[in-house]
Order: sequence, then C-alpha cells, then structure tokens
Amino acid sequence: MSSSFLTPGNFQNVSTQGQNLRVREDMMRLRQQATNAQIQLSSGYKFETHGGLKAQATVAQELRHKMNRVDGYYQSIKTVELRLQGVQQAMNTVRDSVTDVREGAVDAFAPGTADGMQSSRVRARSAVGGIVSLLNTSQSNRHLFSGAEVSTAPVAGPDALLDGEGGRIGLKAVMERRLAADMGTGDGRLSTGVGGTVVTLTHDGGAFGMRPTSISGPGTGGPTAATDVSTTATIDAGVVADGDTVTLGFEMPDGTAVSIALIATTTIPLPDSPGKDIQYFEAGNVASLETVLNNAVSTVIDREMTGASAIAAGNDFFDHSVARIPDDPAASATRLVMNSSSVIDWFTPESPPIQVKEIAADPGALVPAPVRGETYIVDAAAVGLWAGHDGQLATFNGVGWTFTEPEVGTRAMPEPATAADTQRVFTFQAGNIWTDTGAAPPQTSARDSVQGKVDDGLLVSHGVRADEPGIRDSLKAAAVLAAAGYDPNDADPFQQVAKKISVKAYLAHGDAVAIQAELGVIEERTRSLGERHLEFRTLLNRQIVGVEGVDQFELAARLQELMTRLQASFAIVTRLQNMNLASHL
Amino acid sequence: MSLLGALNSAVSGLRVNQLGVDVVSRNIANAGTDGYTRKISPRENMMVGPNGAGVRTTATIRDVNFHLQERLRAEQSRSARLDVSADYMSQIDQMFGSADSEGGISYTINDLAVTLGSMVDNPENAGVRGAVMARADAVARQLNQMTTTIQGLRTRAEQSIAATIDDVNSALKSIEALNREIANRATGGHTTADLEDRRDLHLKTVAENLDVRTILRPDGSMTVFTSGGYTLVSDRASRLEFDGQHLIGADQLYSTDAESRGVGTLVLVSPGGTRADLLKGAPPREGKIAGLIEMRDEVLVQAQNQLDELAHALTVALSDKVTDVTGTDYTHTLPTPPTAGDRFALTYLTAAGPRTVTAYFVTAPITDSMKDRVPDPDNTVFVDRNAADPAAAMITAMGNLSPAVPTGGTGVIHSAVPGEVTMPAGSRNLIRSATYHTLSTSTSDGPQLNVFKDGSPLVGTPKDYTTDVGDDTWARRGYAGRISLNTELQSDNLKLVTYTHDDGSTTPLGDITRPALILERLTETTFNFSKDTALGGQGSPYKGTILDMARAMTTSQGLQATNAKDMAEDQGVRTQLLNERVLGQSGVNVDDEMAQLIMLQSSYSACAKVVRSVEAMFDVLLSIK
Repeated sequence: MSSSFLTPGNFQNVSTQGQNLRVREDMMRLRQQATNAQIQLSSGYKFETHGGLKAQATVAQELRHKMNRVDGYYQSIKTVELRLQGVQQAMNTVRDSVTDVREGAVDAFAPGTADGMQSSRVRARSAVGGIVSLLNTSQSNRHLFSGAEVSTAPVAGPDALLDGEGGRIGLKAVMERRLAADMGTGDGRLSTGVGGTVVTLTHDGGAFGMRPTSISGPGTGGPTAATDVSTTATIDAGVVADGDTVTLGFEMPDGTAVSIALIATTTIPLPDSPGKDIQYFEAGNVASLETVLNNAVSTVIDREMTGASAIAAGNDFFDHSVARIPDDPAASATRLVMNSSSVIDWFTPESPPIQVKEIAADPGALVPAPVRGETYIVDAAAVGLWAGHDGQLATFNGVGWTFTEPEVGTRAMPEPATAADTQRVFTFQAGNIWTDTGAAPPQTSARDSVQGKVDDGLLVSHGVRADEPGIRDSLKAAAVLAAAGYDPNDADPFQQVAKKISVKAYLAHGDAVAIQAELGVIEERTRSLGERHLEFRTLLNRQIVGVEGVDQFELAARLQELMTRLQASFAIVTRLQNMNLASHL
Repeated sequence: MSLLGALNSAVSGLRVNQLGVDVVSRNIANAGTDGYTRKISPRENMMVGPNGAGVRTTATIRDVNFHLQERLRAEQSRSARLDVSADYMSQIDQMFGSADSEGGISYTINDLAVTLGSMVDNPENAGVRGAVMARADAVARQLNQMTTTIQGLRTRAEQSIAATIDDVNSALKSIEALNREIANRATGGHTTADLEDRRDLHLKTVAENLDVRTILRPDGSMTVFTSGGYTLVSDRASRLEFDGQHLIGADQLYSTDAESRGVGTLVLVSPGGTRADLLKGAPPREGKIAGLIEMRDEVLVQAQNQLDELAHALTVALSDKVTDVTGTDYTHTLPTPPTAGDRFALTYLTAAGPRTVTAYFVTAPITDSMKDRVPDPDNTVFVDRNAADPAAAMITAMGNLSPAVPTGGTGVIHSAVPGEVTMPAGSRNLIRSATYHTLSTSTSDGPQLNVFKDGSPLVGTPKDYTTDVGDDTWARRGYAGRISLNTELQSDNLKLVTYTHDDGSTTPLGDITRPALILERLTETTFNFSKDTALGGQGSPYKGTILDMARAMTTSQGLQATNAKDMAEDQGVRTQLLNERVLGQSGVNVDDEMAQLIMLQSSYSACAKVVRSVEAMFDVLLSIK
C-alpha cells in the first residue's frame, strides 16, 4: 500500500504547476501570433524591422533607395527639360532676329538707298536689343546662356555693347579705331617705291590694312617679312615682258583674300582694264607700273577694305575673351593690344585661358614649323622676327607674324610637351613676363558646363554659352551692322558692310540651327529617359510590395485560424479548470 | 500478540496517517510554488524483534532525478544567454528603424545622395545647398546617436553583470550554508528534502547566470564548479568580483592585458583568497553573464566597428585627394615627409590576375595590431613616414611581401631618384592603376571636400580626421560617435560647390565638378572595407559602395537579431519541455494528492476503528467479573 505513494518511474505524471504553465505559455504564444497578424493587417508589411526581412533586407533597402533616387532623377529631368525649353525658345528668337538682320541688309541696296540703309540699321539695332535680352534671360535665378557662371548675366547691355559705357568704348568706337588702323594714311598701309627698274610694295601695318600674301609672275620677289613687322614684295619692270601677267594677292583685315593682276603691254595708250581687278601697264616702264599698281590698290581699298575692316573689328571685339583693339595711335599701329579697362567686355563670364602652341624665343627654330593661325608666347630675349616683341602673343600669318600685346593678368595655356604632361597655365605679369601659375583647370565645352544628374552614373550635359559660335556670330552680325558708319551721302561704306554681314548672318543662322538640333537631341533623350524612370518606378514599387508586403488573403486566413484556435483553447481551459477531484469530494 | 500490540499498531497507523496528511496538505498548499518538489513520507512495517509492531515513517523525502535536474540547469543556462542576446540584438535592430519608415542610416545616406543629385542640377541654388548641409548633418548626427545607443547598451551590459554578480554571490553563500545544514541533518537521520529544494532554487539562480556543474557528495552536500573547472562552492563558497565601469565608451575594450583593459573583468576569489581571472582563464560559456559579456565584448563591439568603418569611409571617400601616377608619366615624387595615413596603391597584373598592393605611411613603429586596421592585410605594407627615403623604404617593404612585388629596374615599381617612385617603362603594360591618396584638409584645394571632421563643435574645435593606422589611439575607433559636419561649410555652404584650381582661379558657381565628384564617391565608387566589420571574408575584404556598406550593415545586424531571437525561442521551447518533464516527475499533482488524502482519511478512520474495537474489547475484558 505504501509503495503506491511513490510514483512509479514509467508512469508519466502531470504536475499541476506544469499543466498550468503549459496552458499559459500556449495561450500567450497564440495571442502573440494573433497580435502580429493584426499588426501586419494594419501596416500591410510582413515585418516591422529589417531583421524580420532577413537576407531580403538588403534587397528591400536597395529597392527603396533606388526608388528615392529615381524620384530625384525624375525631378532633375523635369528641371533639365524646363531649361532646355527656355533655351530653345530663346534660340528660335535669336534665329528669327538674325534672319531679320539678313533681310534688312538687303534693304541697303534697295532703290532710295538712304531710307533702305536707315531701315537696315534700325532692324539690326532692334535685333541686337532682342538677342541681348534673350541671352540674358534668367530662369529661377539661373542665367541659361552663361555656362557654369549661372549667376552672371552673360552679355553686356545693347547700349553699352554698341556705344560703350563708363569710360570704356563700345563696338562703334572699336570699329572706327580699326578702320583708322586699316586705312593708315588712306593707303591701306601700303606704299610703293622705285629703285632702278624695281617697284617695291611695302606693307607696314603688321596686323592691319591690306597685307600682301603672294606675288607671282616674271621678275617678282617676296613677299618678305621684316623685324619691324613690314612685308615687302618687289616687281622688276625690266623683266616683265609684253603680255606677261603679274598677280598680287592681298589679305583683307577680315582674312578674306583679294588678288589683282597687272598685265604688261606695249599698246599705248593703255587699253581699258578688262575687269575690275585687272589693269594694264606699259611693259618696261617702271613709272607706269608704279602708277598702275597704286591705282589698283586704291580701287581695292575703296571697294573692299572698309567692309572688311568692319568685320575684322567685329571679330576683334567678339571673338576673344578680352576685346583686342589697335594700338594707339591707330593710324600708325602695328599690333593689337588687350586693354580690358578701356573696352567693353561683351561676354561677362570668365573665359578659359588663351590656347597657345608654346613659349619660344626663336621663330626660326620652331619644330614643327608654324602653321598659319598658330599663336606662340614670345619668350624673353626673343630673336629673329620676334626680336623686340618679348612677352607678346605672336600669330603666324603665313608670311610673317602679327603681334598682340597682352595685359597684366592675361592667362594662356601652352600645349603640353607630351600627352602625359599636365597642361599648365601661364599668367602675364608686369615687365613682360609670363609666370607659371599652376596646373590648368579642366576645360569643359559649353555643353558640359551645365549638367544634370538624370540616372545612376549618367550626367546629361545641357549647358549653352552665349560665346558659342552660333550664338556669338548671330549677335556679332547684328551688332556690326547696327554699329556700321552711316553716311546718307556715301552709301558705299555701309553697303560694303551690309554685303558682308548678309553672308555672315546666313552662316550664323546655320550655326544656331546646329546648336538647336544638338539641344533637341538632348531634349528628346532626356524626355524618353524620364518616361523610363516613371515606368521603372512603378516596377520598383511592385517589387517592394513583393518583398515587404503581406499577402492579404493568406493573412486573413491565418488570422481566422488563429482566432478559432484561441477560442477553442479558452473553452478547453475553462472545462479543465472545472474538472478536478476537489469539486467531486 | 496482545490487544495492547493491536492498540499500538493502530495508534502507529493514526500517527503515520496524520503525518501523511501533513505531507499531503503541504504538497497541495505548495502545488504552485516555484521550486517545490513533491514530498513523500515513506512508511514501513515497524519491527520489534522478529515481529511486526505497526507502521512507521522514515524521514520525508522527495522524488528528484538528479541528472534530469542537472540537464535542466544547463538548458536554463543556455536560455538565459540567448535571451540576453535576443534582447540586446532586437534593440540594435530597432536602432535601424522600421523597414517601411525609411529612417535607418542607409536611408539617411541615400537621402544625402538624392539631395546631392539635385545640387548637381542646381549648384547655384542656396536652398538646395542648405538641404545638402542638413542631410549631411543628419548623417553625422545619426551616426553619433547610434554610437550612443550601442555604447549605452554596452554600459547596460556592464552594469547588468555587476548586478548579477551580487545575486550569484548571495546564492553561493546560501548554498554553502544549506550544504552544512543538510549534512548535519542527514547524519541525524532527519529529513533534508525541503532544504534540498531550497538549495536547488539557489542553484538555479547560479545556473541562470553561469554555466555550472555539480557533484552530490555522500553526506548530501553539493560541490559546485564552473564549467571551466573553477570551484564555486565546496566546503565553503568562493566569491565572484567584478570591477565594472560606470560608463563605457567605444575605445574601452576588453583585453587580457590588465593595463589596456577598459572594461570590467570577472574574478573568482576562493575562500583561501586566491584570485583567478575567469575571463582570461575559462570564460563562462552559457548563462546570463556569458550573454552579457558576449554582447559587451563581441557583438556590440562589432556593431560599433561597422559604424566606425562607415563613418571612416564616408569621410575618406569625400575628402580623398587622389593623384593618378600613371597620368604623370608613371612617376611620382612623394611628399617629404608623407602625411600620416597617406596611401600609395598599386594594381598590377600577375599570373593569377590583378593584384592591388597598398602602402600606408605611418608614424608609429610598425606592429602587428596595425594589420587588423586595414582592409587587406596580406597585401599591405606599412612604411615609416619619417624614414630617410620613404619611397625606397616603401619599395623595399613591397619587395618583402609574400608573394613579393617585383621591384627594381625590371620590376613593376622602382625608385631611381631618392623620394621618387616610378614604374619602369618595360612593365608599364602590367600596371592597371597607381594612385597616391592623401586626405584633403582644406575646403578649397580641389574637387574633393572634407565634409566631415573629427569631434563635436560643441566640445572644443573639431580636428581633421586622420587615417593614420599606426597611432596608439587609432582615430577610426569610435569615430562614428565623434563625426561632425565641417563647420567651415556651415558658415559658407557655397564651398560645397566652389573651389580653387591649381592656377588660382576659382570655379564658377554653376560648376558641377565638386558636387558630381562627391555624389559619385558616395554612390558609385567601390571601396574595400576593413575586416573587423565582419561583412567580408577572412582573406577578402567586403567591397562595395558606401551605400552598399550601409545596407549590408543594416541587414547584417537585423539578421543577427532575428537569428538570436529564433535561437532564443527554440531554446525556450527546449527548456520548457525539459522543465515540464522535471515538474512531471517531481512536481505536485493536486488530483493525485486528493486521491492520497482519501486513502489517508480512510486509513485513519480504519485505524481509529481498530482503536475503538480494542477499547471495546478491553471493556469486555474489564467487565468480566
């Protein structure tokens, strides 16, 4: 009997406390599960913390990050689109204005020329105003045509541009000065002389006037450049026989070429010239040759050089970061000078340093030989044709060198010696010295000056600068015509300018269209990228729900089951509670 | 045989049943008491000589399976450790915010990237620049705050250990006293069952905190050891001591070297006064203390390492001034001397593929501990920056690597001129990249930007962050807690965009070089991350962008938390099952006791009836006249 008080080992007893604990534990677990399901139902997400997502936490974060970024990119695209629209509209108007200038230029040749010229001028002047105001457009505090210098209005005002402002001269004065420089004493900087049977044609203007570039025919020599920047060509009248032709080529101030042909004849009196650039002279007569040559030169000056000088002044004014003007006094100047304190700077943002070939002292020792248009910095103690031009910028013109005098602070970048070398910037200092002021900053094109972040690793370049050729030349054409000297009684000089401008305006219009086309492609690409972002965003959203979201149907079923189980447990616990021996005693 | 004998037997029955009812009533009363085991009062036939003389009870005993209990204690130990780990880890997981609220550190960094993206579009917009500043500040602050949380958890762990030690000590003391009492009573043949219950309770307290083993000695007393073999209680109890710190910072770490140990250690003082450092000798493997120590010295330290590495990478990435040596004719003249922390990285082609070797220029003497501070120690050399010719020293060190980097005129790296490194022309086709890195400490010297500084502007002046790994006080340790936004930028946020070129010219306001570079370094440039983040493998460091790293960190911590929780739950079920088993064997079932009570009751009445019958029989006997 007593042994029954001991519980046999194989008898699985259930202790009251154990049973109690078990019931509490089970119920708590069910409750917890139900609460979790309830939270999931209300939040729509499977888990609250990253831990719950386990290894998928990285995916979930990545998707959400990506979505945030895509939102940002989409905003960027909207910004870029808005800017491009602004630029395109402005460019449309620039094109319209330049077309208007071209049509106006034709007016100058209309019957009743005085009124026609007046109309040309007015139309050009209003085009300048229109273009300048468009280029200075700002969109939400950002100047669209300033490249990276978004806070600076890119172009000087139309009045300042043409007439000058605050003691600094404008385009009109620059054109006058250039004309004076090109004219010299009225002879286009050319003079003739006779020594024996040889006629010498000397050009002393350096960069100005009509520069002889070629001479061909029997008995000709040169042209030869000299240290004093003069260029000389010779014709030996004693060698030129009857019927021989001597051809002389000249370069106009704007770079255009003109040639004249002199034909030796024994017919006296001399026959009428068969064309405007062909003249007869008496064979073997050196005096006749000189006279005929002088006549031919004056004809070219009257017919061509005034207009060319205006175009050249326009280039001097618009094509460089600091306008270049003829040295003072203009009539005897031989070089251009930079002087930012005396000339209006039409393009306000800072321009990149001047690209030069190299720094050298001996033009005769350049390797490779200079090519026309290349610019060098003349080092100290220069020799040969550069002697006496220390520190100046020398540009090869095919025969000799034309010089430009920099001002203190002018920056230039010689080409690096080898591709591996870094490009350096040199700055002009007082005392005609160029000092190395450090590695060159990276050079960006106008497009790259403004970029938008539109996708991972993708920047879209959409900058526009007013000094891009297409835009600059449009403004230049309008401004030169508006500033051209106008005399109601002498239509010729104005007409010369108008004629040249009509060509330039046509070219500028083409360049402007090219810019628009380029921007159009960017616009289209950006727009389609934006659409892709929108689609991608939807996809991402769906993926996030896939990773983090809870299946509503599964959840509802689970919740239902949990509630049933919980209710059943409650019922059983209550019944168990009533079932004990004590209540039956 | 006599009536008196019957009477005696009946009375013994009454006495025994009374005792039985006493035991049953105690069992019923304690049915729900924790640690109470069912008591049994065994009875036996009382013998007088060869004859039975009624019934008698022996000392009350309990029905306990010692080995089952020992196992239960082990499971409880493990449960306690895993519970601690789940509790702490879930707090770290919560630190990263909920998954859908996008408040975690990776989101904050991503937000910074998104804002930087709009700064690339609108560098001239002061509002956007301000937003970038605010985002960068938020990143720094969040890193600070997370460090505070982690170090707060470490401090809590330290304090919990200290509190736990008191519980353990008092439990050990009680076990010592109970051992003595039990031994005494057992010798006297008295019951020790209740005392054993009591001792088991104290033992449970100890087991929950430390993993222990026990040995029951013949006299009923118990010897308690740690699983590492140290005696906790034998004849007398040992005492645990813990020299905890009140406040723990990121740079306070455990070390077996008492000098450099920044946190408390567990010392066991034997009754004789001998001291043994448990953490050094045989650290507890299970129990709450083991869990707390694991948190304090491993898990939380690793979480802090990840944060520090993130802060470090952020700072270095944005302010790294990189000189591409291949772009300068494969020749580079080292600064004299190089700044501490400057790096020279060379990637060249080997038969096994591209290999990147990095040289760090450091101030302090070169020690092995520095290897733990770089991402790829096997391909790293440390060069004394104050060496007479650092370039030559670097090349010598590279030549001593295993496998060696080919050096000299026919190798991939060579120094022909003192102070200058060059890649000989013959091997340039093998060079993939060669870069010299230094941290920019100026806001204007190039497109990189030192957005972050080391130290809070509220406490003194923030310093420039240094990457010097050779320093005694490694700047990366705890950097996440000190990182702050460069105050120079706060006073002039234009510096986020503009800087000065080498030639002295300043970039225009609309120039995007700097914003685009910062953005690219943040989201697209891949870095190697230090091994101590435990995100990569042993031989290969974790590689990824800063954003990748932030995400990986969030996931890694979250995953650890979930694992810890799952393990704790599984262990909880195991412990519970075993507990039920133990309770089933030695716990009280009220129904069972009630049934016993009925039997005792009837047995008692039967005995009483016998007494009355005997009395009646005596009466009959006495009435015979």
